[in-house]
Amino acid sequence: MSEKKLEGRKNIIEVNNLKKHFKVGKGQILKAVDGVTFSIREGETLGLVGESGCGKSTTGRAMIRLYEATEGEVIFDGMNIQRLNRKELKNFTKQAQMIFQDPYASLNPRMTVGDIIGEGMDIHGLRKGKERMAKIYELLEIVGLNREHASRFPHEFSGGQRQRIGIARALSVEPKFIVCDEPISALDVSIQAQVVNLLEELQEEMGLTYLFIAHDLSMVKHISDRIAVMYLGAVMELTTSKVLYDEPLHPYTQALLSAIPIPDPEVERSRNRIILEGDVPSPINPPEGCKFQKRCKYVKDICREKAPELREVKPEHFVACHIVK
Amino acid sequence: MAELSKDKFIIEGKESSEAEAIVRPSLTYWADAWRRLKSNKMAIIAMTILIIITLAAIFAPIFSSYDYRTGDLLKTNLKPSSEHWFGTDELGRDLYVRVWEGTRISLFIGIVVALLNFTIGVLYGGISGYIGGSVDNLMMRFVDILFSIPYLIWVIMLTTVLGSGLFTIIIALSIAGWGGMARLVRGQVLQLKEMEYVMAAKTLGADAGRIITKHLIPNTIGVIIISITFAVPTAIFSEAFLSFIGLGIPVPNPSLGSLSNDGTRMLLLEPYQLVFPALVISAVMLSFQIFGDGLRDALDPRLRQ
Repeated sequence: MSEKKLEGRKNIIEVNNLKKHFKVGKGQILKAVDGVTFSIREGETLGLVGESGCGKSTTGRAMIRLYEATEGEVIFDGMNIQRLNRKELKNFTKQAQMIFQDPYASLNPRMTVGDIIGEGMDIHGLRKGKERMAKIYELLEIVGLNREHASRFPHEFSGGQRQRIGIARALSVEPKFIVCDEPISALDVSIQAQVVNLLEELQEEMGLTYLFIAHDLSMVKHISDRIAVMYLGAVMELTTSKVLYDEPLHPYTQALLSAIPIPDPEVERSRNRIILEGDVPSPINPPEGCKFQKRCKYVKDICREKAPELREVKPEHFVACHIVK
Repeated sequence: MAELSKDKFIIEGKESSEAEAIVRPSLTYWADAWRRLKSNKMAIIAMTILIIITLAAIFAPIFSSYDYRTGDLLKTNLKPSSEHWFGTDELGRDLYVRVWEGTRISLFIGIVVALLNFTIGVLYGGISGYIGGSVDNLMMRFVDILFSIPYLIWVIMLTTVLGSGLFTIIIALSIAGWGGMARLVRGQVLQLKEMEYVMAAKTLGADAGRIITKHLIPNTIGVIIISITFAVPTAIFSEAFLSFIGLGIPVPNPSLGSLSNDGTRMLLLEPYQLVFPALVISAVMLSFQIFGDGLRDALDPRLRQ
């Protein structure tokens, strides 16, 4: 994927200092996303990786306004999506879609597959009657299912098939931008490749832009043009996938990458893994300063005092760390 | 690893499009539920009994030559015979007609109360759960306060204000009963509105009305139906209890409770006067319980195979 030319393309979506805090009672605030900034260019796939609970999904959901952001802004195609009125918001939902993580929970068990895929068209009044059915059949065939499946119910399908129905639903309104919220993590490895390949083909044919959220690093490397690494609600490192894997700069990224198993016993046996001590701190009371300080072996005084900003240390390579020069 | 080109492989057996075919016939939710209910013999027997009792309650008083109100004082306390199938009471009224008329009134109360509970409970619980937050908190605390008052007190208060009668009983039992349904629906809605398919609908631009009618209600309806099935016998029994202690349907209208009450007075002399209404009320209660259990097994999605 890295041969794709991305220089000079305009940004389709920009996220500026996005924050999403949840009240969790007793005056405590859970800072799920705490100041995230990045942008995605047209036709690009940005991978968003991190441990569970680091705010990846919350970021994705706030970007399509499933959640109201606490602070910061999301600019889609020149519009601030937090300031849309009802009509503009409805129009925005036609351009930005989402593919969900759990293929068993993301399809309404009481609707036929045809109605599930057709729902977007019904809401926006795009197509009716025969035209609607024709589009549903077309979408089913695009994702590799049969037109006979339109009258079936979700429980009759396997996980991979259901995920493809979810993709067809997202495509039904002909969006430009799709948030893929861990679309493959609930699937078998053999089915994962099938879904990822389908997503890549669709991107090529329709010029889609993806935000690909995942925790499986090898799959993200395969599909993403650039990758952002998140930790405890903040982006730690952001660069092209090749550079990220070849020369990671942030200590957290280095630790993450060293956890990927290498399918060669000789190499696997001799290499040194970076083992992180401790757990991810609770996002309810995150530490002052750098989010990663408690598990970082290079930690210095400045890390405890001031949160590092995401700086461009090399062209196209952003790192949020005081240590990296 | 050596590169493997695609042309070194051929597909043996199934083409990919055939591999996606589903052999099992397509069943809607209701067809599937009916299939499972049919395989439950007890539930089907209970359902049959309920249908027979309902039909008898509707038609037996119509086709009988006797009237449930007028008695023949020359024929009091008769034993069951070919003329009076269930015998007569102390005022010489035909018990067969009175039992079915009583069943009719009891079933009517049960069904109307259950439907009222359903309507109020689904609306209230649905709104409370869907909006959530402090509105939900406020609405549910109101329910808690309302239901800390026992229904007997409601009945006594309403009887004082409205006078005793069918209407009073229905109102009192509904006031006391809709909270359970509201809590149930609220719980379901709270759970369902976080489901990914609801989020998917929101992502597609669906408004609240569409989410409620297309996604939330269809997925709660099974639980609601089960709850209604259990609400009917509860209401019937509450009414029977009220009539039994003299707070229920005023004379001469019979209900299964007041008939049982009359029967107990004659228990030592003419036991059949208690046996028939007691048998019918037991059959109704038991059948509703068994049928409700069967419905739950058939409708509960967690038991879907």
